[in-house]
Amino acid sequence: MTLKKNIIIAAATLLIATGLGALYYGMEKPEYVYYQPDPINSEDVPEKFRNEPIQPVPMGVKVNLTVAALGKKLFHDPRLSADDSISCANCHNLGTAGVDGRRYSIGINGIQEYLNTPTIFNSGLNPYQFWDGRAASLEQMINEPPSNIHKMESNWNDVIQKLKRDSTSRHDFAAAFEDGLTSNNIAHAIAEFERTLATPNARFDQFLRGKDDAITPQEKQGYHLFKSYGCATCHQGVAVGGNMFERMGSVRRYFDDYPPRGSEDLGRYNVTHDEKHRYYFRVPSLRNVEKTAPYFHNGSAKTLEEAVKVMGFYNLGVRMPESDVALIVQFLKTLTGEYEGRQL
Amino acid sequence: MKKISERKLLLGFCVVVLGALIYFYSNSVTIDPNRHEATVSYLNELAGLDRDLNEAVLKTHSNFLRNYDEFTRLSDRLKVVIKQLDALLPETEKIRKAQALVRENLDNKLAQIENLKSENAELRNSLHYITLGVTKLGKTPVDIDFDHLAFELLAINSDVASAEFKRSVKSQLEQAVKLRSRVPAQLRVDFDSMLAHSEVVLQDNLIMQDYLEKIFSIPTDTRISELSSLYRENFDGSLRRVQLHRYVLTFLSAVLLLGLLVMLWQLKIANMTQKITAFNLEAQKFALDQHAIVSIADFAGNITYANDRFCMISGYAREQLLGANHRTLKSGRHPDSFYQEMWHTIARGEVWEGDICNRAKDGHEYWVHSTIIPFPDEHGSPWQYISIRTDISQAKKMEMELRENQLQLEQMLETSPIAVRIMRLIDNRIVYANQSYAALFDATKSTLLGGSPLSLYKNPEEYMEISKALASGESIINRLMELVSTDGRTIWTLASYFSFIYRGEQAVLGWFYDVTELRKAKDEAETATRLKSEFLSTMSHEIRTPMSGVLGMADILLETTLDDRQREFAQIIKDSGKSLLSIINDILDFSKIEAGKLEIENIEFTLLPVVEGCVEILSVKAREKGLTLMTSVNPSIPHNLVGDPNRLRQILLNLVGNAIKFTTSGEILVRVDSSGEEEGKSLLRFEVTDSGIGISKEVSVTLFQPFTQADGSVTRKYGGTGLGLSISRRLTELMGGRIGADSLEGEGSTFWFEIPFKHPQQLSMLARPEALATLAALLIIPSRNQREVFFNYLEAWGMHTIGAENAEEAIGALKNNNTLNFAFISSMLGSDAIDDLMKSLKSMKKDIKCILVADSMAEFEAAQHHGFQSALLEPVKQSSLLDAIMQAMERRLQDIAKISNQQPVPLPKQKKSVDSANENHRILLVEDNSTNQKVALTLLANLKYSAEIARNGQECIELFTKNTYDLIFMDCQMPVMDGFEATRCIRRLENGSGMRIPIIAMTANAMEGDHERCIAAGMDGYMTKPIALAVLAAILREWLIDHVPLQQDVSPTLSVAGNSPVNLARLRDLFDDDEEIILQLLEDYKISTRGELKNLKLAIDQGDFVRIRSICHQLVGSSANLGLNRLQALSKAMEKVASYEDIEQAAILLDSLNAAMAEASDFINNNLKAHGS
Repeated sequence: MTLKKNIIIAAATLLIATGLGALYYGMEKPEYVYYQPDPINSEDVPEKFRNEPIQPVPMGVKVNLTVAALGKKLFHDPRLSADDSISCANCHNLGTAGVDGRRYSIGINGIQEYLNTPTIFNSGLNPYQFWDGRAASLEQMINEPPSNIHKMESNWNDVIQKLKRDSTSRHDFAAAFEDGLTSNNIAHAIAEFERTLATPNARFDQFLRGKDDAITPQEKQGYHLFKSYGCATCHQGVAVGGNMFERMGSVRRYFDDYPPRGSEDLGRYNVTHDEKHRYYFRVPSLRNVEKTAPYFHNGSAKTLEEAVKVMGFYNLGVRMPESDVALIVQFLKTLTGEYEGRQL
Repeated sequence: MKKISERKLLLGFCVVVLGALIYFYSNSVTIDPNRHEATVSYLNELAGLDRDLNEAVLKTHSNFLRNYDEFTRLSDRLKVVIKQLDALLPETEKIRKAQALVRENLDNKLAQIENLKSENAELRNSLHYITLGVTKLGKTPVDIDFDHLAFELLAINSDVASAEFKRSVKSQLEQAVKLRSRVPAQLRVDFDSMLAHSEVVLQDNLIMQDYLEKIFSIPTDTRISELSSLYRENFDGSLRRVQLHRYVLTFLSAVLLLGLLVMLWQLKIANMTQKITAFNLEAQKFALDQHAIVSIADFAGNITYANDRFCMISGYAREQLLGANHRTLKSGRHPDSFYQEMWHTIARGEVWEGDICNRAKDGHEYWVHSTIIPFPDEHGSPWQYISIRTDISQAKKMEMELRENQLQLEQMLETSPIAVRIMRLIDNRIVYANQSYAALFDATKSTLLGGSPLSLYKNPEEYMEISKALASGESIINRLMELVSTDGRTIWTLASYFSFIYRGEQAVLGWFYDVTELRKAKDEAETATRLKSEFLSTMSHEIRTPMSGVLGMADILLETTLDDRQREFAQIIKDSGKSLLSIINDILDFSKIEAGKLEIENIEFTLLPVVEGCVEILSVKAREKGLTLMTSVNPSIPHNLVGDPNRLRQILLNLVGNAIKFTTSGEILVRVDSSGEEEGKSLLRFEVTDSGIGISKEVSVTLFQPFTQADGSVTRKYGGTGLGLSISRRLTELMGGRIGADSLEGEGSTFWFEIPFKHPQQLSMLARPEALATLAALLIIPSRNQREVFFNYLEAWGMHTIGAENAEEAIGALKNNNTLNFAFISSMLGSDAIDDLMKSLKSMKKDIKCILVADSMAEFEAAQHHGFQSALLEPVKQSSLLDAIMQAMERRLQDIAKISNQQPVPLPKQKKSVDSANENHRILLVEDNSTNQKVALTLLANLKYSAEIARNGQECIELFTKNTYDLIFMDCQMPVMDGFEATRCIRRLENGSGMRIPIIAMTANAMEGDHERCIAAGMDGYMTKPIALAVLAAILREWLIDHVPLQQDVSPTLSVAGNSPVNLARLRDLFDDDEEIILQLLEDYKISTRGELKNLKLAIDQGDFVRIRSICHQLVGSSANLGLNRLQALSKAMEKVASYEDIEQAAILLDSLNAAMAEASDFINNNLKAHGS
């Protein structure tokens, strides 16, 4: 008898407490805060250079170091290709400024694509990847090459199976991600690593940061010419390009003189299928341009001088005098930055 | 009852209210303020970002933007914000749609901005270049007002330019293009550039305007604010809902509180009523105590009251009982269900009455008759129980014991494996039967009970007989009775019957023990034993009879005048027969021993000839293998003994035979020694020591088990039944001895056995030759064992003996001791060394007598030429040793061969009979069996061929790689590597060389499919054993380029079947030498056979194998009848080939057949017609 009574009383007390608690909670009224955008971080560039079209590469990037370390391993892991022969680093050789130095990149079985390998350095600064800009992020870009028939001819399932067999890989992924080894995480890890591949502290950046003697008077003159010829209209921003599309031969018809070799030459048209975008390509970043020969999407320009001249003729409509070309080239060479504390 | 349901109602109500509380509570906390805060902030940021984008676009257009990174930053942030909003926004359809619209519009806007960026860049540059161009071209004498044009172009760039204005500028430009030729060459580039840029400005400007319009026409801001307001609406809605839920929650809590207060009030009233009832019960209980065992327990069975009587009977003090549960007294005699039933009854409020066994404190059990009266409380459920009990332990105890006894007896009877039944005498009905009884008759107890057992007896008279005996007061014990089961099966039982009183009536108790199975087993065993014995004796007779025929005839044949070759053949027949017989004997012996049928004789025999005889028999084999076989029988062993000499010989032959078989080089020593003397008995130890392969310890354990050899592969390599050792063991054991083996693997082994032999009445020892006692001998023998044998024997005869291992030692010994009379010189020293030694010895002591110890026949025979006075052939027998000494003393050395009773089988001297014409053919014969080797070599020799021999596949391959052969005859089954493997190996070796040596299989397996196997292995032909000369000739003719001379040169002394075209002897025998009839028959045969051969050719051409076989079958018959052996053999071969459907072979054989036919014709013409005419 007493037991039943006790139970009922206990239950009742509990109920009342809960009810009162609920009442109190219901009467609480939170306040809401509205968003204020951050002011643009202008780093440490002196006032006089704040309006220059080119801005210095930030000295550091915020990344998850564990993930980036895993990404670095994967970047160099040939198991990402179908026949275990090719890794990302195969074409994007970090020792040679993130390019392979070939006119066209070569995938497994030696299959060629009629496109020059763009450098992987500073790719984190670009809003879109590939010559035709079809990838809107590094992750999206990485999602492509393993399955791209010209490059690695693999697919994520195979890659995951291969990596799963390796206890080190399993362990690395478990340490870096909650959900372990997935295709998204592979892509994310590599992307995170690639974001670390920024090349700050180029001589020109030092100049922009106020060190006046970082570049020579000739190089300064070259920069002046670079701007006055209109190069800087497109090759601007932190990456000196890379953030817009432009027609190859916007003033003179480039492809009349350099006939297309394949659908690759259609450029952005391949992505939008908009007739307006035929022959449009992503304006390449000119950071480290000295080291990334040959030039253009088709790798047709073997030297910087040639590249500058061709650009001037087809995209600016001028024949630049050799002396100007030389000065511009001198300026371009000041854009070579550092990776891991060493100049590229 | 009313109150109870009321309370339940209240409780139910509470549960409902509680559920409602939980529901409303959970609904009232669905809003997460942090989430709302974040959502609103992101929505605001989205709107802000859109505004920033618009601002950046305007800046771009007005050329205020330093670079496009601003767009990158904004679009990156946009992506983040949109992603966050996707996760945060509530998932209603409206909001999702609005979200999608926002995304779509923003994507669209960003895409247009991309276009704008490109166009803007182009336009900026072009405008810049136009200004530059004007400054350069302005000074040129051309009719174009570049200044004006440039101005107009720049004006186009402003928003206000009308379409008409643009057209006019365009026409001006076209105008300018026409004037290009007038421009000086050095300025043409600038001119072209100017025009190109103008074109760009003209076009891009339009496009640029278009893009701007597009960008600003995209209603991103509206969409975003729509989304925001939708979200706000949604949020306000949920906020209202939550508020509502909270109000309800408060109300419910209040209701619940009220309900609880009511419940508490009710509980208090109930409590008071209970107290009054308890008081009443107390009074009644006191009244009861006075005349019974009384206890009171609460509703859980806890004792709340116990009177004095209760304390007394249970043995507990009252303090111990109070508060204790009634379970304390539980005896465990009643099942749980008993208590459950009791509790159910009293819990229902009913009175329970019954007998309970309880356990007192000291452990003893007591029975009480108990009445339990439940006392219900005011709600009707009992709250305490009064138990009133009377002690009935005594009565209960007696009843239990009785019942237990009865039960036990019944159980014992019931579970007895022996069938039991009780029959009432009044009506002869079965009144009791146990389980076994029912099972015995394959019936159920119910069908048997109440019936008469008469029908279960096979013989009713027997039943009557028993009834009579029982009636006269007798009992019947263990009588074998034949009964019948209900389904008619016969059952044999041992039955016992007793008269007794069952439940007050005269009855018969019957016990039945089932012995059906035992009887059946006994019958079967007897039959089986009889059949086995019969079979054994039949087999032994049936096999031995023809074998003894074969062996006997071979013996007789050997006694006739034979030339070397014939003697050899006959000897082979005899040897093969003997080994076959020994295998059969092994098997029969073994079966006999197993059946316990082998009897051991006890006869007087002489030991020495048995031992030495065995060794002598096997010495030939040993010599063939290059082994030295020795015996050493201790001369002090009694000369004659009583035992079974044949069985002793059998064991010895087996052990020595094994030793030879498993030893490849070295010596085998058979030693006989006494290992114990008893009154009238000698225990002899026989040891066979070899230097063979030895046996591992593990294997030596199983060695004497039947069907076991040291290794499974041994049978393959060495042959034999594997029964020898186990027979030896059984025989030894039968003779009262034991057998064993000591061995070190790889270092040889010693097989030994010990058998006790009785002494005969007249025990005799070997007489010691007195004449030798004063003599001295020098042993020049390298083998230590051999020297020891000589030493033992000679010393036993009283001779002084000195041993020497080589010539130098011997000369040294002679120098020291000039009294030496004899020198025993081993042929192992080598003939040159022996000659030298002899010379030295003779020169040192002229009258020394030299005796050769030869280990081959040839050396033995040549002893005289070397100047030996006497010679001995290994293995040395005591008697021959003595003879040799005597002979040497008498200087008689006339016919040494007579001393030896060895008749060595001369090896066929093929080499000598080989015709030089055929010597250039090299034939390799691969065959492991030496008899078969000889047969094949002889047959080849008859055909004027010689052959080299390989004893197995491996040797064959070694020889093949070393030498070049024209043909290989390959045995299929061989040790080490068989013929198939060897052939495959050769074909592999040949691969690519373009050569292919013909390989002809020789196989004893005339089994179906063998031919295919040979061909599959890469062989070219096929020959079954025994090899027919004709077939061999045909094959040689086929595979060797040169023609084999067919038979014409065959030695007439060889009458191997098939070597003469017509077996005239047989025909003459058949037809009593009537040459005319023979000729007639052969003529007929010739004509018909020629016809058949034509048919055969036709059949072969058509590939009609059925026809080929039927023709050949006829030919086989007719040829056999007339003794045309060759034709018979070839036809038979053809028949076989046809059965394999091998057309090529058939064609080849047809040629042979034609040739044989021609030959036969010639033969008939030459041999018969001449006679006839």
